[in-house]
Amino acid sequence: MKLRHTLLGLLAMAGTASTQAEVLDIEVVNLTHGIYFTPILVAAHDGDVALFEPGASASAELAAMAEGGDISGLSANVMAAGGAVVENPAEGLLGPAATVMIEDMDTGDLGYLSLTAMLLPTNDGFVGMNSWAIPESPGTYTVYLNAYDAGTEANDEIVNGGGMPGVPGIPVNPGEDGGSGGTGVTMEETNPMVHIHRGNLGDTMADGGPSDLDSRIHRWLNPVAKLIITVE
Amino acid sequence: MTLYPGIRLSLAAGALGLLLTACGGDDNDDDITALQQQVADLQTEIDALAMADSDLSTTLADLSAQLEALEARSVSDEELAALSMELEALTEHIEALQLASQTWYEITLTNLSANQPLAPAALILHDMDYRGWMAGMPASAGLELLAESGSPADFLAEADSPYASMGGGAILMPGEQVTYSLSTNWQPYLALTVASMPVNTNDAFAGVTGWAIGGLLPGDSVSTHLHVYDAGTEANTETAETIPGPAAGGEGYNAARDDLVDAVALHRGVVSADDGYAESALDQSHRFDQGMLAVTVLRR
Repeated sequence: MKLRHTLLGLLAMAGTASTQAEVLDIEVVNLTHGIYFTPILVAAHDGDVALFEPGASASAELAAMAEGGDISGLSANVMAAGGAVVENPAEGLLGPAATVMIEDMDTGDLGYLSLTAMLLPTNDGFVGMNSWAIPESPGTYTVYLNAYDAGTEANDEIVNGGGMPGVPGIPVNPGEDGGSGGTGVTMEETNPMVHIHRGNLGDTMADGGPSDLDSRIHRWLNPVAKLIITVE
Repeated sequence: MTLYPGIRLSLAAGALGLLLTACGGDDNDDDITALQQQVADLQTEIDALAMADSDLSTTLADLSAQLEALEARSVSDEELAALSMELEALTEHIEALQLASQTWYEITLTNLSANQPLAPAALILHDMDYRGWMAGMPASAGLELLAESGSPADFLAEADSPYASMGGGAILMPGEQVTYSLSTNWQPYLALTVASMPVNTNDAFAGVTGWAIGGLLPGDSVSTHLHVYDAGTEANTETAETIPGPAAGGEGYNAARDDLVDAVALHRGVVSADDGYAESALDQSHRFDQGMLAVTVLRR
């Protein structure tokens, strides 16, 4: 993208009109049968800001999103850095196998596109796209997204309303198709950096067992989302 | 353009031959009509080959004119037979040209799973309008049958005027590889669909649809791993009664749709009894991850 800005600069010096606004249509498909996406954040930005970095520590704003679905901090960061955002296009949860369409997102001459949404029911799992380079050529592009673990909370798989950063537990199971009385799968987060989620374990006990999640419902294999991006 | 029109034309010519030997001069009007139909069919094939300005077309126009002249008067069996033979020769010439203009694609499937035999695959060459499924939409009836029982027959039959299609010949065992060949007239926007059921599941299928392969040059190949989908038509109970594969030997297809969501999505894997699901007929060896079916497409 540095090259692109240099070219734009050269064009400007030559006296040519240089702004090339990229307008995008973005279709987001939840590729799972049992996992919900909380309010989605789509951000267009330059190279000096990112929503998350795999392998790096989660920011406080990322943790707030991954643990409780709160995108306000991430959104504010992007705006403060001169980016553009679309917040909560599905007006709530994007359920299993559901699709939401974002139309005419004006990304100006910003170079990258990113996305995050918390995965429910998980402790601190999220679906993410980190700094996808927005193509200059009009066309349709397909991108598959994986499930990440923010690394900020142990995956105990207990649904107890705990969603604030620092509070263990899963805030809610929207499908209401799990169990209760789980004793906890683990108390430990072995990788405190952002990493690829190892998946929910779940169990098949409605009452008790280690997990409040159902191993037959709340599991997935990557990728968990498909984006169809049309550059106009 | 339909596949193998030459067969149809040959049958028509053969039937006409029978007509000529069985009937006398009174039925020559019917014979002339049949020959005129054959002329019309051949003109369609010549146009499809984009050879409207060729010698073939001139020859056909000549035969057509002869036929018109015969229609105006009483015609002998010998004259009709001679005309019929000339049309036959023209038909064979056109069929040879059609065969030479076919492009062949070799599709190699490799089962990379630990313990999931793959049912005979459905393979379809088609245009960019067709899709075998869409993630987020309900599976078609044919896809449901494929994903629950392994049979590709109805899924293949549902494809509307594909360029070419076939069902695989045998189960593909873990670690095995098989190559199928499909041919069609080359199109710039040619696409491929592949679908095959891992048989130790309720309603999983490994596949790709609308994979654009028209850009391959002769001798080029492209490879990928196919996603494993959940058809969304049957609950993933993993019980002995509902899994058709050798792990269980249960029922394959069931018309009722009782899955979590009636929509195609990516498979979340199987749990298995070894992972705490006591009722499962599967053990840990039957688990799989995305990438268990590798495909290579080679254009000859």
